[in-house]
Order: sequence, then C-alpha cells, then structure tokens
Amino acid sequence: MLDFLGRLQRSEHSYCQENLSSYLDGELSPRARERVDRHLAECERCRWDLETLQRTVGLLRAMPRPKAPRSFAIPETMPAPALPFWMRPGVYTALRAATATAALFFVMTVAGTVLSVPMQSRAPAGAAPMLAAAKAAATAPAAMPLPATAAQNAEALPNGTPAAPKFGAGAATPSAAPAAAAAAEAPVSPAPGEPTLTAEEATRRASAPLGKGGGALPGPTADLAGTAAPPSVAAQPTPEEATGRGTPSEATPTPLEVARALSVPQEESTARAGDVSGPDRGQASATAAASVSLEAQPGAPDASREARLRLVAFPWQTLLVATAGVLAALVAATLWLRSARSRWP
Amino acid sequence: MDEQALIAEARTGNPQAFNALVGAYQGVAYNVAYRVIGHPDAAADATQDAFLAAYRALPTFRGGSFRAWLLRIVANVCYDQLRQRRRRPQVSLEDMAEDPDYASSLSDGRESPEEAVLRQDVRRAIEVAIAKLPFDQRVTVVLSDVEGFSYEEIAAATGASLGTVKSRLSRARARLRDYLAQGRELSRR
Repeated sequence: MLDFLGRLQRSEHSYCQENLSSYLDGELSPRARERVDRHLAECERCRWDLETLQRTVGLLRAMPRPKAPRSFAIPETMPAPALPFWMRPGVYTALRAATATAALFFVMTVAGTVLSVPMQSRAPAGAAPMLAAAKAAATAPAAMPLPATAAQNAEALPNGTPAAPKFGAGAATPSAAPAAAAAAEAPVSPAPGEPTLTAEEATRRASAPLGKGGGALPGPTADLAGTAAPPSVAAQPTPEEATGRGTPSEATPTPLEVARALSVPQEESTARAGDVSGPDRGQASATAAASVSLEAQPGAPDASREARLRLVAFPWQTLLVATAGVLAALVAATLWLRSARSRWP
Repeated sequence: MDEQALIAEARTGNPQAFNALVGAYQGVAYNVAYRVIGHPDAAADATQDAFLAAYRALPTFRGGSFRAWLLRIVANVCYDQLRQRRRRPQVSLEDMAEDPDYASSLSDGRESPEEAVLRQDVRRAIEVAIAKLPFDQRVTVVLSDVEGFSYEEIAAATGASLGTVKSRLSRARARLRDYLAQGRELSRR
C-alpha cells in the first residue's frame, strides 16, 4: 500500500514537472491545472521549481531588445521573386515519380539477372562454343526424331563379341567434356524412329579422336565424358540397331570393334560413357552424343526454351549497373530536394 | 495598405511594397537573430539574408501568419550562420559586452523600468545560458519568452507540432533555470 502510494506520488511529481512550463503560461486544460495544483500543494520541490521557472521567464522577458542597427530594406532593383526551378510545384512530384519508376526498373533488372544466372551456370562454365552447342541441342530435338542424340555408346571389344554396353558409371562431371555435356543435357524427346547415324559412323566417331585405344575422348577421363543424367535412365537401354564394326583401334592390334548406337527413349538424353577400362583391355567406349547432337538439324524450336536462352543472352549485368546508377542519382536528387525544400518556409 | 495587400503587391515584383513589410518586421527579425546567434554583426547579416530569401520565396507563402513564416526563414538563416561560424569561430560572447556598440544598443529608450533594473551581469549570464541551449530549444525559448509568441505561432515558425513546442520550451526553461540557479542569478533579485 505504501509502495503503491509512493509510486503514485512519484508519477504525480513527474507529471507536475513536465507540465510546470505550460502551467506557467496558462496553457493547461482546467483538469490538468487542477492536478498540478493538487500536487503543488503537497510538494515543496515542485513549488520551488515553479517559483524559479517563473523568475527565469521573468528575466527572459526583461531582456533588452536591441533595435535594428540599420535598415534591412532590399534593393529596389531586385527582380520579381521567382522560385528556383526545383521549388516550383510539380518538380518534386515529378522527381519522385521518376525515382519510383527507376526503382521499379531496378527491381525488374535484378529479377532478370537473378533468373538468368542459374541458366548460365547450368551451361558449362565456358564460352561461346558451349553456348552454341547448347543452343543447337536445344533447338534440335523436340519434335525431331533425332538419331544418335540420345546416346551413342560405342564399345570396342578386342574379342569381337558384342558386349552389352556398360552403363551405370557415376554421374559425370560436365567439366570434363563440356561440349558433350551441354549438348547431351538438352532434353531429347523419344527418338526411336530413324537413327540417321549408322553404326559405322558412330564407331568412327567414337574411335577417331582417340589417341590411344582406350580413351573415348581426348578429355581427362572417358568416364567423365557423359552427362549428369539419372543413372536409372540408362539402366535398361534398348539397342535399336547400329551394331557395327569400327576401325581398329591403335591400342589394340586386332580388335573387333563393335559400336553400339543406342537410342534411349527418355526425355533427357543420356550421353553416357561406358566404362572404359583402359588400353590394356582394349575396350574403347565413347560417347558420340556431343558431336552427333551438334549435327542435329534445327527442328521445330521449343519456344519457352528459346525465350529462356534469349533471357540468358540479354546483357543483364550492363543493364543492372546502368539502372543502379540512374536510381542512385535519382534517389540522391530526391533526398537533396527534400531537404532543400524543408528549409524553405 | 494592409499586410495581405503588401504581400500580394510584393509578389508581383514590387520591392517597395516588400520594403514596407521589412520596415514592419525588421525589429523582431533582428532581435530573434541576435538572441539566437548571440552576435550583433552576424545577426545583422542573417537578418539581411533572411529578408532577401523571404522576397525570393514569396511565391511559397500560402497565407497564415506572415510573421511566423518570416521567422522561419530567419531561423533557417541563423542555423546556417551558426554552422558556418562554428567552422571558423570569431568573436565570443565574452568580447561582446566590452563592445561599446553592443553596450549602447542595450540602452535605448525602449527599455521598461524593469528592464533597466536587470543588471548587466545578469543579462550576460542569461545570454551565455541561452547560447548553451540546443538550437531548437534556443529558437523556441527566444520566440516564446523574449518575443512573446504564442505556442501556435512558434509551431508555425519552427515547423514543429504544438506538443514539440511545449516540451522544447519546458526543457529550455528548466535548463536556463538550472544554469542561472547555479550562478545565483535567480536569488539575487
């Protein structure tokens, strides 16, 4: 109870302290004045404060008012008052509208940049040829029955028996054979129909670039020549045709090379490298998907894909820098104008 | 000619009409500038600048109290002056009382008997105390207690709300009181 009263007194005291100045000027409402009066009656500190405040205000009012030392008349030749252009009505509004528009543009540019980045990075980190390959692959497949695009697995076995293509090598990293990856990554519609690539050609392609008998591509490891397609895709390939003879590999004296061109009826093409055991076993396994798909004739373009590629090709970064610059300048101008205007009456 | 007619006339590009307004308000403008800046020459410069700026800004005057509108310009100019002077300090308040011009400017015929009673050292103490206040509080307390403006007019002249004016005034007076009580100026009277 005592504690409560004490707190009540303290709050009354601070209320009184806050309002003494207005009390002095007679600017308090009758109720507030009554409340201050009640507290003043019982608080000596507040009475002293009021008295000294009163005396202070009295001293201030008694301060001399020096007269103006001279006339402050303006020259009679002053031109008619004209506002600086930035104070004219509408200028500030227009500037704010321009800033808002620039901000909108900036947001859109940021969105465009962000949207385009994943696609760029999906294409192998590399240059024009990669992009071109991706483009070719992208435009080709959809409706076109594309032959070997799916997967060309050429295997050369020394003993001449056609071996079952070995799939299931781990997902390959695109960096090993970027072009191949780029090409193979493009979705390929089921293309069971008419493989235009003969087995021989596939084999030739497979073995031609080989420096040694084993390597599929001049890349670091043949394993990596494939693309990152789900392993299951290749699990049960359906060999359509194209079992042919290849040219003898350099590494193996008398090999019977069997090339298998496989069309995999999957949405995603799987250009998967077969296991390459190395020159000693004379097994050459190659993926010809890259080169084949590059040869693909442009078919009916996939519209959305096209649009996305166009999105990638757009110079977003340049636009981003430009928009950011314009926006920064407009924001600075708006802030300056706002502060300048606030200084005017 | 009444004030509104003078303003309208000045707005059309008539400096003479504006100078009639200058004549009516230069006293209060100079006094506020002087109390806020604390130096007669700088206050005169600020007053002149303020009237020139007010003439140029006339198209933005949208009615209401011309005095409050004018004093807002004066306060803004004073603020700029003080900022400049802080960068290159000139005469301090202590030199001012020794200035014969200043002393004579204090003893003109307009002083009331009560003002005459106010002793020189008390005035000095008050001036020093005012100079110690933050700018906003200084303008508020000068307009209210030295110039006798109403709360509403102070709000218009400082661009602040009534509540802000009240609290600034309350704090400014309390600070001045504390400072003067320290120096025993309050008990001497």
